[in-house]
Amino acid sequence: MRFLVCLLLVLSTSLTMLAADEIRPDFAMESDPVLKIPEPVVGFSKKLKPLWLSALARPEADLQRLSADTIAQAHSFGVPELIEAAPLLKKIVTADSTQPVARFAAARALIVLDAKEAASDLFDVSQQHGADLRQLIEPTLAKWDFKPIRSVWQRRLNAKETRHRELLLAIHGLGATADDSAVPLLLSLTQDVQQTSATRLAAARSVGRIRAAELEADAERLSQTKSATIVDRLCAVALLDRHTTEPAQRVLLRLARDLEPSVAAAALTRLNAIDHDLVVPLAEKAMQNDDAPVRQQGVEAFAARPTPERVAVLARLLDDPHPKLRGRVRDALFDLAKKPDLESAVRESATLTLAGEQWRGQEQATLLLGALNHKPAAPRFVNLLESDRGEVMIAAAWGLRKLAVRETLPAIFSKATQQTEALLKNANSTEIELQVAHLFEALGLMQHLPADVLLRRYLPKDSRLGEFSRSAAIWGLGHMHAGRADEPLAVLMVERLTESPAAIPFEFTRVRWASAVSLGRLRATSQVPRMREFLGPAVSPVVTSLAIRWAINEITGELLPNAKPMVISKTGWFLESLDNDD
Amino acid sequence: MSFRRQFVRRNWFWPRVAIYAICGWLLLAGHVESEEIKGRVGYSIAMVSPYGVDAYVPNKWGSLNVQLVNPTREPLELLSTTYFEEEPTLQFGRRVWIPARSRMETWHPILMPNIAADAKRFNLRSLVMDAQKAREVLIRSDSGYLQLDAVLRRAEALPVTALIDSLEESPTAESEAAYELVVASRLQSNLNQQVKLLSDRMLPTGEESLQAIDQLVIADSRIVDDGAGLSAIRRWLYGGGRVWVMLNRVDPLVLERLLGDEFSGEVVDRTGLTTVRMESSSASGGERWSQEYEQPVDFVRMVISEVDVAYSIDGWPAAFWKNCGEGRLLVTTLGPQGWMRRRAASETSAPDQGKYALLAPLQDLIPALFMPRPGPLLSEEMLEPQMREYVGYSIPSRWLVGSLLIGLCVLLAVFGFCLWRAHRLELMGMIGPGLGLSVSLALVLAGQHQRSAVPASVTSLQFVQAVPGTDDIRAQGVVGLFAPEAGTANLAGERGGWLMPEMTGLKGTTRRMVWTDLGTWHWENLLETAGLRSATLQQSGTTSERIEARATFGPTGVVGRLHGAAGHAPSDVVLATRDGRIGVNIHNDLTFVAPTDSVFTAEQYLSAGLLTDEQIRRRRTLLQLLTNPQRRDYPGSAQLLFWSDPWDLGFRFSESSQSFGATLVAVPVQWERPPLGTEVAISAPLLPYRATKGPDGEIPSALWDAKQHTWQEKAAPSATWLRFQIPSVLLPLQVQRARLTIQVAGPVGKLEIAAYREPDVVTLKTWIDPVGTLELDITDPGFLNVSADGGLLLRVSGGDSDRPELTDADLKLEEKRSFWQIEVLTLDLHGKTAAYPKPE
Repeated sequence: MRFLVCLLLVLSTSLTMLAADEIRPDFAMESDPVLKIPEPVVGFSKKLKPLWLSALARPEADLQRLSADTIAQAHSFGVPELIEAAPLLKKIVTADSTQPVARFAAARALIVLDAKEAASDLFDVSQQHGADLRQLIEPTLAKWDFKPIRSVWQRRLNAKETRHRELLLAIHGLGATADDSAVPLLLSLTQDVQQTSATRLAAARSVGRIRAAELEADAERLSQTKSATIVDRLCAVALLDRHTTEPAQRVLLRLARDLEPSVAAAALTRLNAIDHDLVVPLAEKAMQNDDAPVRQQGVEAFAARPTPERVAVLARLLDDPHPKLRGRVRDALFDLAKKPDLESAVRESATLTLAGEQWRGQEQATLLLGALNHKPAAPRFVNLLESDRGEVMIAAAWGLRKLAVRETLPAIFSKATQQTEALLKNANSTEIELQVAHLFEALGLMQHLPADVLLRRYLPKDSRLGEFSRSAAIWGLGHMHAGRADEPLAVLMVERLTESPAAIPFEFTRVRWASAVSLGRLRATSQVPRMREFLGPAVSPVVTSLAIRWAINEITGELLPNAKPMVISKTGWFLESLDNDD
Repeated sequence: MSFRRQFVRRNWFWPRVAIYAICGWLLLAGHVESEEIKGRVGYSIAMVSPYGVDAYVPNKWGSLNVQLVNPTREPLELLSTTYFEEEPTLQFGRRVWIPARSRMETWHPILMPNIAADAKRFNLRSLVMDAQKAREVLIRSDSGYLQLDAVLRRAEALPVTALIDSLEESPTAESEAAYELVVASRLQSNLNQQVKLLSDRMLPTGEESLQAIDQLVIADSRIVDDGAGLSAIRRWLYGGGRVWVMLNRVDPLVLERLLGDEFSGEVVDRTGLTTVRMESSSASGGERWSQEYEQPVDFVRMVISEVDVAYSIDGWPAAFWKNCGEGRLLVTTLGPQGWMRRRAASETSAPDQGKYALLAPLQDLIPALFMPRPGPLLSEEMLEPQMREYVGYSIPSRWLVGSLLIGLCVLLAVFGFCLWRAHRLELMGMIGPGLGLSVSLALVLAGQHQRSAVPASVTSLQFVQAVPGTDDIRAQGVVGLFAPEAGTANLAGERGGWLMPEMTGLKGTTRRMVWTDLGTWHWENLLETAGLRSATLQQSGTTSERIEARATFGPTGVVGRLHGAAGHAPSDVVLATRDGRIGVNIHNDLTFVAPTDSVFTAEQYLSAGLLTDEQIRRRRTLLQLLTNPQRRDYPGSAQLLFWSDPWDLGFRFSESSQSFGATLVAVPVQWERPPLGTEVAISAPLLPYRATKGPDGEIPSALWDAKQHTWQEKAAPSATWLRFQIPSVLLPLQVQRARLTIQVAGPVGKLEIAAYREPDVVTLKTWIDPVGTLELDITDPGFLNVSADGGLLLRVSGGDSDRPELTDADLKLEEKRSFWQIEVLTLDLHGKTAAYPKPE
């Protein structure tokens, strides 16, 4: 499990997504330098559309269905001008002889194409050709605010014999179109205990979408009695979805204390949306709730209305069992630390958590204090390098790199050496691999020359050493020897960069571009021809190529033309041309 | 018009078969060699590969992907046809139009042949022809081949489980978890790890395309966009499939589209649980489990009605079942990680154990998911004899036969007399046989004339089931194809499904079932012999008007209206449940009444007193349907059963064929609550009961077996509390009076009925040595308390402990032990609908 967590953590760190709203143990090498890959563009053959239109015009239901579905899918992928298929699709939708499967596919294609001009036809067929079509079409008609359907929905609310799904379609539709005239009927459905729970809740949600006032009494009636069911209370919260009045707040405040977490969470969410001050008195208790969404609302209130005391309460949730919630607390505290009156409270609270024994708290406090560049935490970070939790030992290594306290260099070097021995003994641990990578970045950035030999051990291919540690070592060597032409090192690096892609075992892409970047930092003029040769005639939209471009610019000052976006051709359609575009 | 059943094969049947076989060969393959060069278009013309569920099981339908290429500058119509090495004369094909200079992917159903038990693959061979030419012309591929050989792997182990998962190229941890959970579930059921991943974006249409699979797990929402695929799944589910929807990964829209009006749920919110506290909802008392997780487990909190919640978390359903026709749907709202745990290294000594082990709650659920598919409600063997009763032709009349025989006798007498007078009686040795032969010949000729005078006919016996909550119907049945002369049969389908003739005697003839569009197919070169050939049919489709029966309760019984059957003239209507049947009076406007005084006896299946021939056949079919020992679960809910003329299911036959037969239609009853204060009468078939623990703590005995629906024979005194279930649509209900009817056989000695009136159990009636049908009217509502969920308790006890000699044998005298048994026990109720309790 821990392995999975670490792997996901690493994979989520994309080269092109370096903006860090969320504090995470990212790698410095990924943003130094910034190598921006041009966004790929999707390419399509111009011959596809005529082919699909010709198939769509055929009488066979199979071809109509497949063509319509393909057009819908291709439109989603970005194939241009497929709206030209709308007349044919309309014809299929409206023809009496059309088979149901073809009609469904054609109707769906019109919806995907956002062919609002077909709304009237879609409305007609949805009322004539069965429940499946109604389920497909009516939500779209609501989105398009197609007014003629409102009377149909109103009739359904009135009619006793209305079928369940059609009733729900009407409820959702009237809610989506904010038809105020439907409120009395929707309210009666909400209050009708003979209706199913789903119907009542849907009706309440629709009323809540329509009305922003005057439903306080209804919500009160639904929720105030001792015998009010969970559905009653959920309906009451839903009714007040857009209310801000004092009576509404009173009902919501009562429901926010509900023992049922789904009710409490919904009420707290609404109260937070009205005014965080309303939740503040409840927040501390909410943060002790078993239910993560309830705790989250408490966090939001304290984060929005912080005081030094509330910061201390918030910091306790750095050890929350729910990873997203403790991450949210960490990021909220980071933002709060920017306020002068709260900075010390945040640092103190985080330091307290860091000193604790709970691994979740240790991890989050490390990330927080690392991001805050809280140098007094460095000794504790060194201690935590020894944690048996992967998340903590990785965060500690990252934190030491962020703090860059030179006094920690011996400890960092010692740990990196120790972990290298572990890796070479086939420890095969992703956690160690990632920790070593962060430590190497720290050693490189702080130019700790005694580590030079250790880092050089990572240059040759070795199946025991992983992609991250090797690339970080090479990147670190670049920083360590920046501006100092070290010819033997440059030769080793250029060999890593230019090794044949066919070589087995293959060389990691990350190692290649780290080598290119470090060659640039070394100002390895002698290696420019080999780099140019490997680059080829033009810069490709891949990270290795962009790294070489950057390095050549660093060494020679020459800025090669940037890479053109990669064209991705989508294939695998049911009907394709044998010919290429002219 | 009706015909008598009789059929005699002609002596020259086999020569005729041979002639048609030769003709068929000439038609389907004979021209190939001479025309192949003309047909060459110089390209790799086709490729066949697995499609759809990619599960192939002998004698079941599968789907075949066909990729065809048109390299010419003009549109082409191509025919791709495929046959198996094991059955080379039975072909399945697809005829399709392809634009110029293009490549098209299409597919068609294919019926897998029977292969050896140890065979692991089906070897198939495909041919491609130019379908525009009058004569069939094979097209040669670029590499010079006229035929394409391919292999389909046989499903390794049954049952087959398929998974609809995300099509993302990089699998997420969640999608891997879904897969691992399905694998662990199979392993738990002592099956192999093989799970079929449905990787096509769109599923094949038609229920038959899913025939090879037994369980379908839905862990991705993409089928919402595939209307035809979703319809196929729905029909397959209602036909007996097992579907598992992982709602933590699936949009509830999937359930809405799958179940239509039968789905009544709304998501409240979605959350992640780091502590899972699960509770069983079993009647025997909820067991509890608690588990901590570092990574939160997805959980969907939803409100849902009309389902059987199996497990819940903090009161919210975590897993629930829903009966869908003959199939079952399992929905889990908790993420996969909440149902399994990773095996410790010490546990994985055996490689086939898998990485994960199921936690106790899913171990409990899985057996029902992996249960074998239920057998058909009405099998081919049940229907065929009755179908044959519709088929036949008139034989020469008695008058003609009698006249000929009398004439023969007269002639023999006259000749005998004359020859006797002429003393040439020895000539009778020649004349007698000659006359006999002449009369025989005359009879044969008359018989032949009679048979050839009967036109070709198609008789069918169909069983149509409306899929509740949707506009769908499912039909199965048998068809009899009667031909007076041999020839080629015209058989086609326009609305999907299939009609598969019995192929005895046709192995030497090449036959081909060709699809020309979705659900549109025809048979080519299907030999038709003189006489009757049976065929099985299956079809599912959508009706323009939903077929449904909406009913409620009134003072005289059930009243309602049948919708969507206006064109079918329903007759012999019956309201059937597992607990009995009620005769239904239906009016011209399709309103109906099932009065309480029309409850059938155990042997009664139709209202009519004196049954016609047709009604006798209908009665027999109903008897087989409702007492099928393999399907004691049917009907799971109240069904309105009615008869009509054969429905047009889109199958087409020779234009000259006449049509006969009947259709039995089963429509699930949709109950509606009567207005407040309505007097209602509930008859016994609508009041199912089960043995239960009594309010006095008495444990139920094995007197009543609710599963088998039988009362057990007893030699000793025995008693049990019975819980009668009042239809939920009537709740809350004020019960005013009840009538209990009971029949006992054997020396029970004493029979006693009791009820509970807090705080005592009160005996209502005691019979000593009861005989015949006993009735007990309970008029004191105090004894008829109904629980909030509609349960009404009565206690029945039999046997007399003071007189053990009634049943106990005196072994010394070698007497046999005697048994008593309750044969019938029913309850009829009268009451009034009450108001819901008002909030305090």
